[in-house]
Amino acid sequence: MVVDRRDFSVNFLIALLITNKELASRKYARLRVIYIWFDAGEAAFMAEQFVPLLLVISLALIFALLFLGLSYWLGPKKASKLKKTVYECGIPVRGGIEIRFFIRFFLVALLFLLFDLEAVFIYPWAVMYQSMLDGGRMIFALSEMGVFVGILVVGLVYVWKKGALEWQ
Amino acid sequence: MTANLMAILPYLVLAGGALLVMLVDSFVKSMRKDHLSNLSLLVLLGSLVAQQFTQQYSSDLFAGLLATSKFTFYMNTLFVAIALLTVNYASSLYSRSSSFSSEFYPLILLATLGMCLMAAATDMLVLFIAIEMMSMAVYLMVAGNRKSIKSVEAGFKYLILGAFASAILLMGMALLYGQTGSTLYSSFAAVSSSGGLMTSLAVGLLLIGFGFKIAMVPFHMWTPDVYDGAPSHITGFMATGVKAAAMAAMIRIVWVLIPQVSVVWAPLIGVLAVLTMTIGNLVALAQSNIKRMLAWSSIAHAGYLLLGLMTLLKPTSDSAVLSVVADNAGGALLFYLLAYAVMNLGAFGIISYLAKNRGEEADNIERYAGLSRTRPLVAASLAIFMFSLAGIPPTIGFAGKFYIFEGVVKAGMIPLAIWGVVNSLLSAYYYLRIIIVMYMKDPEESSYKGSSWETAFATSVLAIISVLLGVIPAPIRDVAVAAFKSLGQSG
Amino acid sequence: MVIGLNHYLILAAALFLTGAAGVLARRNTLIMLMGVEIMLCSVNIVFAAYSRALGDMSGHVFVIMNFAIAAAEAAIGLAILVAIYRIKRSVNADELNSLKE
Repeated sequence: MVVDRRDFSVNFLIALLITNKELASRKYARLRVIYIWFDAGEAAFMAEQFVPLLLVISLALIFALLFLGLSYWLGPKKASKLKKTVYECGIPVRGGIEIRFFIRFFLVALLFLLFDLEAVFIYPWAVMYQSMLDGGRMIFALSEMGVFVGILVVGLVYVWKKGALEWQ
Repeated sequence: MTANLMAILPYLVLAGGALLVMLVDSFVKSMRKDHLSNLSLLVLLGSLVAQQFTQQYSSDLFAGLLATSKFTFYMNTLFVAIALLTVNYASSLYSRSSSFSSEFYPLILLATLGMCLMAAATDMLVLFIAIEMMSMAVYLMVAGNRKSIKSVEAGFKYLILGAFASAILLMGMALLYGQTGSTLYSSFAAVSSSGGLMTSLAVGLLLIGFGFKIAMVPFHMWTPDVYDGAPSHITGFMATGVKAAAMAAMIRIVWVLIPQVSVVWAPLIGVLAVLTMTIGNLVALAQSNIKRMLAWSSIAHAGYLLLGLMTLLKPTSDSAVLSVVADNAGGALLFYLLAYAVMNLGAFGIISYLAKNRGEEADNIERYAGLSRTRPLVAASLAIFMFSLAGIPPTIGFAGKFYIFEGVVKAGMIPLAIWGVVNSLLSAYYYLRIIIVMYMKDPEESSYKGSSWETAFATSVLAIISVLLGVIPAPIRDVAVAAFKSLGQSG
Repeated sequence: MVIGLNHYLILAAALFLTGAAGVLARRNTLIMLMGVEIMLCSVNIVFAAYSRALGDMSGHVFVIMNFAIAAAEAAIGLAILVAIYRIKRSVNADELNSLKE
């Protein structure tokens, strides 16, 4: 079981964390399980041609589960009363944890939500664009989207001028 | 394409105007709020003028998404007039008080656009977008007095229940779409005339959704709170504009769906109409806050409107009789929307006129004492509006109720008509109480006093209109009947 | 088992009722807003399912419009909640009682 032979970036990260010698010790028995599992995964990867989508999904899953699992397994857990309190720059905490939230975050989130969702209307237009060009209706297609984007721009200019985008 | 764009010119003016007001508001920092209000008035007038150029009616704009007809002409004129008056009321208030922000002006233009589109829509998608355009603007206008917890809370309450109603309405639309395979109203005819279970369910959900908007019992519980919390001019706008728009959309849908709807839902609408007017009037008796009283009265008036809607649905074997009765009943409904707008806008205009500078509302009935001495013209106007709301001749309110009940009698539902008249008499008690306070009591230190002449002038004009149309309602009524006829045959 | 139209409708009905229960039963204003959003999403499922079953595109158009409208509604709701929070320092529906008689 040699770590640096693998080209999986995941394994590379694990190799950074621990050495082979440590791996053999009893203390890291749990990690050995992960390594064996990775060997099997690699074999499957070599044997079959995974579709790219599946690769992305499995990588994302592996990353997420791995780091969650690593921190859970490897992290020492010594709970104390002080540790359970809210961390606030190292000074003693005063008052409850339901503090006021900064209103600017909220405003930006709202504006993002609105402008982001408008993009959904551009997709059908983009899908239809080629067929509208073929039908010789380019002016119509462009002016339609122009009006739509124009209205959005008016909205953007409005929030800008009203100072909603300023981070004071 | 050009013909389509020409036909929707009034809507384009409103939409462009709203964007323009937004830009002017954000760029010209020195712009005073009364200039913005003048600009908004100009946009609304422009939309009215543009309507005159679109007399070339078409029922098939943008592949059947929108229709223009005498019906939309009538409703649009009503909506724009309501918005004009609301802006008029607002302008004096907004230039005095800092707790109202200038966002009101684009919002009211967008709300008006939504209402106009609701009356013009012949497609469920357009209808839904129009409803939301109107509703969202109104949510924000209700919460417009940002320093008053009552106003903001009312805004939130209205938003939650309004969105809840929208979701129900939307579910109805989805099921109806599943039955017809199209969102166009014209495809509703494809549903089998007996109406399957799904269709009944869909129409029921639509009725609930609209019932929320017009404050129909049992979906009325938001009304007193929201009407009370909102700034008075906005309450007037909601009570008249939103209700009229929802009613217009409802008339169109019901009229298209008539054979399917009438079988299952006509008796239920009748029961709901009776419940709505009775509960509205009974609870209004006990109110000491004039805005809450008018809120309950607006629920009662929704009952009268539903009564009118029910006459449209009355199944009759003789189709010739049916069509005449329906035309008259539909005309009566449209006339009633106008009458209700005139008298209620007048009443809320005066309440907003009497409001104190800092957004404090003039809602305590006791403090109307002696208004006839301190502000005789305003007191006389308010008295006329109260007479009109109670349905006492010769006012527009009497004419409106008369036409509705006449339609109900002609449709052969005499007990319902009698119950309506009894309700009217009941309502006179609480409307007349305000007149008594104004005229029989001496002014006190705490009595309200208004100051803005624009609002006083506008409400006086409305009072004159109330009496004038109460004496000679026939011409407008003929216009209303013609407007209803332009919807075409049902089914 | 073949997943058909009815399964989608049942799913949508369940979601719709969940959302409605959230609006009517919960006392936290944020959760009430979420309830409304769930209701709107369940309608989207109905539209998409019918659109697929009927082979008609207008249901899809409805869904896209719905997204935008639901987002706008959420934005307005949150904005009003912030306004309430600024005045009252609370967003609990039980404490929103200034409109009681």
